[in-house]
Amino acid sequence: MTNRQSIIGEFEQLVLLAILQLKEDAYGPNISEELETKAKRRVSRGALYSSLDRLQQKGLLRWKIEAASSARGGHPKRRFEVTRPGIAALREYRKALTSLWAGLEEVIG
Amino acid sequence: MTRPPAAAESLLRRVLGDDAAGRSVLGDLTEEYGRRKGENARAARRWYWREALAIAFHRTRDQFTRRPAIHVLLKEGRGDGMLRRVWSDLRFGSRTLWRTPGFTVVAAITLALGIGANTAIFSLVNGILLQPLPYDEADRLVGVWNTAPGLDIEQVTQSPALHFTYEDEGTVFEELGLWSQGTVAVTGLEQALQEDAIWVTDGLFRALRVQPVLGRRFTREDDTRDTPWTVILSYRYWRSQFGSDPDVIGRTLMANGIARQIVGVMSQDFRLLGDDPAVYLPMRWDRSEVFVGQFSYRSLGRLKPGVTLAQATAEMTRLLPIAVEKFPGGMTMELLEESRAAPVLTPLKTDVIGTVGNTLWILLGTASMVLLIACANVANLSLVRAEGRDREVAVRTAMGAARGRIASQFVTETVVLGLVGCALGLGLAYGGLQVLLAMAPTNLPRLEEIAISPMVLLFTVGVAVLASLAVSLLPVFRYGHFNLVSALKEGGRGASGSHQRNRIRNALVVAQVALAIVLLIGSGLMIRSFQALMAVEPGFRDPESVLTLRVSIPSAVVEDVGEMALTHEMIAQRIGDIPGVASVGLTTSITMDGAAGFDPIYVEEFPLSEGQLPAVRTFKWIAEGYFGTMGNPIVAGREITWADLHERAAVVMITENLALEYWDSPAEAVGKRIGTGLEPGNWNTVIGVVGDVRDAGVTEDAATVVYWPMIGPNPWRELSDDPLWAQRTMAYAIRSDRTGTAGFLDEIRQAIWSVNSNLPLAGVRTVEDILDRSTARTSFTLVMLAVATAVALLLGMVGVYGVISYVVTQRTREIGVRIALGAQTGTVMKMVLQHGLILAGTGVTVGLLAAFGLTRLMSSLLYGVNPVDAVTYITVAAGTTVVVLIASYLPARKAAGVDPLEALRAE
Repeated sequence: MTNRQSIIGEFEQLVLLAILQLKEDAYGPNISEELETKAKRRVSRGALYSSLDRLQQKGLLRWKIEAASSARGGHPKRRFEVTRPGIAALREYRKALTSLWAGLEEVIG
Repeated sequence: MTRPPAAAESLLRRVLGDDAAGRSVLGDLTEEYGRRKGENARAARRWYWREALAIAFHRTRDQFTRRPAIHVLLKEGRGDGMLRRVWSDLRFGSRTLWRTPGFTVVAAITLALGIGANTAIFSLVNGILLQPLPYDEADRLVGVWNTAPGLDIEQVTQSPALHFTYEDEGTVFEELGLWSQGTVAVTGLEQALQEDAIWVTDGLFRALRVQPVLGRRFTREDDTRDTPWTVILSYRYWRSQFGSDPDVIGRTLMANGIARQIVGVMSQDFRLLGDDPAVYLPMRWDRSEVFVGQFSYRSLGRLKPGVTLAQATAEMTRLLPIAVEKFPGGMTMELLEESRAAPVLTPLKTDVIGTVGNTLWILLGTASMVLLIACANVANLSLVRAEGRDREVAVRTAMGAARGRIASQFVTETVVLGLVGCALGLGLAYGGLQVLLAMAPTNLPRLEEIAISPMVLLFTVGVAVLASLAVSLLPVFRYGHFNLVSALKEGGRGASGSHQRNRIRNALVVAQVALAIVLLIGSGLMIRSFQALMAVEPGFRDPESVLTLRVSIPSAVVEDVGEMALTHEMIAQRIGDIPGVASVGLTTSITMDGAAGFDPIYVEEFPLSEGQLPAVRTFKWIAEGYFGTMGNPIVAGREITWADLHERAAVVMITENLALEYWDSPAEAVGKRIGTGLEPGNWNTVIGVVGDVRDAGVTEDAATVVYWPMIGPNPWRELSDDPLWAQRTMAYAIRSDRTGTAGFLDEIRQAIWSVNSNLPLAGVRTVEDILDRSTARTSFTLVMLAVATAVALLLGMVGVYGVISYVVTQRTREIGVRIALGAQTGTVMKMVLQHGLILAGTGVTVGLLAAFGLTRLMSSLLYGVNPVDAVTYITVAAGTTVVVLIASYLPARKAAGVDPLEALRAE
């Protein structure tokens, strides 16, 4: 699938990968932490939620609302999942990267 | 449970909304805030705030960047209903306009004429009258003047003594400045030239809050005696004479034979109240030499914040006696009391704008009348067009379209038309403005600030929308009372309500004729004023063949005044020797050039009684040949000759009106003695009387002028020890048939430089140029009004023609029947012409009444003609009636030529 919607940015790719890594625990704060520890990317919540919304609009991820708890001031929880088009977009991205990387081992090491 | 900072949380609620996704973000932040608070409460609060602001920022940005364009929303059927309706109306309107290109083009051009005229004039009004002056906090700047009702002096410039008193003792001004204009002889550059200069006190630039682009402003030190001489260049002069040299600061400029250090260059757009001289020089007053007198300097000040004009005037009035005490030698306490002298403060903007406001508002009024006429025309056109669309409207109504919906569609359509007119009008205005600026009188202030600014654009769009709304009112009103059944039944050729429609149409034509009458009378009065101006005898003849220029002999070039006077004489002779030169004369001020002086005179035969003040007269200094060259006759006695100058004779000449003020005839004045100075005693004998001159301008009364010899005994011995009073800068008047021809000026230059090659000359122009300047405002107003009137008349004619021929078309059948029944061609024509005549009569009557009221407003622009001038009113009324009849004649002829058979068959 190569329509315009599947073109994703680098940061969006990191977000999608973090969600996949977190599996059942893909909540906002965890994604932020995952990005910070594994990808060494500190991002503001504003930028993160903005990206999440954008990915949802592109159909690359979806979320499920879970019940509220008192520790959250009575607010619900949102768990994120990557959709099939999301996974396809990641594959597309990897394919592009791999083909561009091919043969460059000597140059880049 | 720990709640995050309330304000930050409420901000988040606002930007995130109340849906589950939004609240989940709040939840995420609250949860983490709780955790962080356990570690460090303050850091947690800071963190929460930071994240909240970041989210708010991203949300807002996303809303702007990701909102789909309006047309996408509409296509998808989203967006709110109102928007969608307007969009579809716009598309529908544009399409209908596109389908009737004839109507669209005519209507758009008509509107463009009206809108363009208003835009062009409004950019003048905006640039000159409405915009603040181009100085920081310009509303606190005031012009400082004086009044002396006891001496019949309404408003006079400032005295240095008063200026220094206000500067030293006053508390109401932040800064005060004094300045005066003149010329300096600049030598040492490529060519010796007489350049415009302005002398200023050091406070002037501080008061205006302007900084040079290079170097610095004048300091108190620059403005003091016995310090090094300095000069500041204007940007223009820096560019033309120094090639924009960035290292110009510190170089020297020879001005009036003195080497002055260049300390600054003013910015490109800086003007001192519209003036852009070559150089600014410090005044360097010696305070021990000033006295309350010398009222010949312009002054301005910056009031401290919160100080009103009244408060400032009150304080300055209190300081007047202090000035008299502090700077003795001029005005005494008694004179101060008698003259009832007092300071006058005017907003600086008033000083700059002068009296041009009235002219501009009248022109804007004129332009708005043209727009009204244009609107009436377009309204008439759209009425006709609307009638042709009865069926379409009927069908749409029958299919359930609401009346409001149909009305809004008509309005949108006209607004589209208006906006097209607006775009065309802006183009017209832009072109018109270039023409206008090119022909505008040079004494129109702030010309360099006039442009089509955002404010002007806003005005134009506003005018366009208003005009379209006004135009669309009629069709909308019509469909408010629309009779669906009859419209459908009659197949779109409804006769129902046609009487009412004709009434509206007739009313529109009457309004157009009336407005055109008002404009015509305005133009007519201006033409009459101009005729009156041209008939005035200004005190010279054939101004086009008199060339004038100024030659200055600075003391650095020729020091001795006797030798200086001989140099002028020699130059006059050399110029006189040039082939084609009829005569040459010298004076310090050519008629109307504004360079004359003003001082009091004493008349020996009529000593002043106790407490009586001497009258102030216009002073000029002359040499042989001036009156003959200007063409001003010598009424009695003889003129001042070179021989008088050689003898340093105490002689004087006066104008006829001055002679008649004291004596019964000009001849009686000859031999009487007149003096000036601080007191009577320095007598000069009147040797001749010359014709009156309109020295203050054609529209002003003739001045009472005293002509002194260019060099003669010094009447102001109290002020200077020199036994002689001599003028170094003289204006040469040269009468020749060759004036304006190629090479003539070069020959004159050669003649001057053959006497002394270091002499600068300046201000080359003909007397006609000076005269044009004096009549510029009247001719400018005249041309503007004439153009507006021509457009109005043309539109008015088109309007009358349109209506009459429409009526003829409507009545073709009736006319056919009449002709079939034996009506004569003449009778039919008469019937149609009569309709036109009734419209014309009504319009002319209404117009005359309106003009009667409105032309009073322009009385300040008129000269030698009454605002209710019978000749103008009658001519215009008769002329307009003829024009309307001509406009009705064509349709009338068509009516007379109707073939009854065809007319009936066509039914």
